[in-house]
Amino acid sequence: MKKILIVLIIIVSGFSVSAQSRLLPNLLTVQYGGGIGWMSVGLGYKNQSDKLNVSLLYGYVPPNQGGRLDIFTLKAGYNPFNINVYKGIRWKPLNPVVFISYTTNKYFYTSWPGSRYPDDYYWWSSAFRSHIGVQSSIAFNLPQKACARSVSMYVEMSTNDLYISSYLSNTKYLSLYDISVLSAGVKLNLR
Amino acid sequence: MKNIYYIIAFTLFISLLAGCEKFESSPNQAHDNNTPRHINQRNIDKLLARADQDDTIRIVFTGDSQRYYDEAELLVKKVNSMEDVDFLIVAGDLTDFGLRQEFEWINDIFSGLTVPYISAIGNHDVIGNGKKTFEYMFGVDNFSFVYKRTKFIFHNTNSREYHFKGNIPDMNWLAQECQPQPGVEYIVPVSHVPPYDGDFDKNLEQSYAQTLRNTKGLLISLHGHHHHTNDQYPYEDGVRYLNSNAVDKRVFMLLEIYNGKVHKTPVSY
Repeated sequence: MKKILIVLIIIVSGFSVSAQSRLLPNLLTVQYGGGIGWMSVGLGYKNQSDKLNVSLLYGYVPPNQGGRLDIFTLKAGYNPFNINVYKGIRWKPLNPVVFISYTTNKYFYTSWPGSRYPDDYYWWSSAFRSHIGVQSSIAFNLPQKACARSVSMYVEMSTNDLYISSYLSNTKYLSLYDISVLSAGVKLNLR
Repeated sequence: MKNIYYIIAFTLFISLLAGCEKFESSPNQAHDNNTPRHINQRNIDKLLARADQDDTIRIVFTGDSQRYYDEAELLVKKVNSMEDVDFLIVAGDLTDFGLRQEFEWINDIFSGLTVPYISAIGNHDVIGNGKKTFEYMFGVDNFSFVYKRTKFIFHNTNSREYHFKGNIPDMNWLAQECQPQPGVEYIVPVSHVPPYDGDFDKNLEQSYAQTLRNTKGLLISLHGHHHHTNDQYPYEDGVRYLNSNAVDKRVFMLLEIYNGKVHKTPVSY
């Protein structure tokens, strides 16, 4: 709970920085699924050309979805293609993403407690997951008066280190589809 | 403009086609809306409903299926080709990382068995939200049932995961379960970590061994965790302890219980 408060304070203080400041995040993301929360919200930055972006997200998994879980995710994306499909509408068909998620809850460990386990008893960390995926998004320009420059919608397919490890030793039973996870989200490109 | 709608419609369609369960909240979520439930109890019910007049119990004994899906499929195929098997026992460690997805994958494979399968909880199944998932999908970690006058006592012996606090295994519960009762002639305890292992609570080892020693009709104590078959009398007190092979070893033990004797045959797959 403390950790969540700290991050909320950081986010709020981010907003309170003056509008001229380059520190102000210019990306607001709301995502459904994708292995980082039932719903997650985050703030981030993208560069001028809109090719690179990085965000910090907070994800929540409610008890009725096998939670409660509170997950923080650092996510980076790259948009190599930017196709003008219509006036003010752009399609970014294939955008690689990488992200690291951190599950903060009890029973999830960054490093296994030495008081309980000998060294290397388990080889992975249960709190940290690294993920890799690909997004496809459509961005719509917004009118001058709007608080955001554009809004984009995306779908994403990703997987994580432990699923890849499961797949690699079981290529007969598991397919790449089996280890894939979907998400859908909306991004606001803030002014 | 029309093109856009096509693209949106197409993406949405693909997402819907993939089904909601692909929108995973977290690999660490204990369950989702489609996670199966009460697997152990449903399989026990199926076993007890078997109209089998013969008094031999034939058990396929395996364990540690953790991340051995390809081999587990071969095991299922082999078991399904055999006759007169009553049920299959997994001596814990269904999963490697304690993840919901792993529990669902292995259940998907073992659900293909023509006989019921019943599983103990292993130390890997406890990790993270694993204990919650095991309880949600399989049921409680300490349970028992009586089949052909033999009582099978499945219980949690993963002491290390509980800081060796003296509560795992639950000795009071176990002692209660080992009491003589009408209709029960023999007793077979099943758990993951054997008492002679470093992951078992040292303070409970002697009382555990003693409880089994003093149990009337105790046939054999079944365990996993070591990944290879180990059939021994470690306390030289007449109590036989048997460790299962892990699923990747591609050999399981067929246990035939008849007239107070346990006969063991390795079967490769």
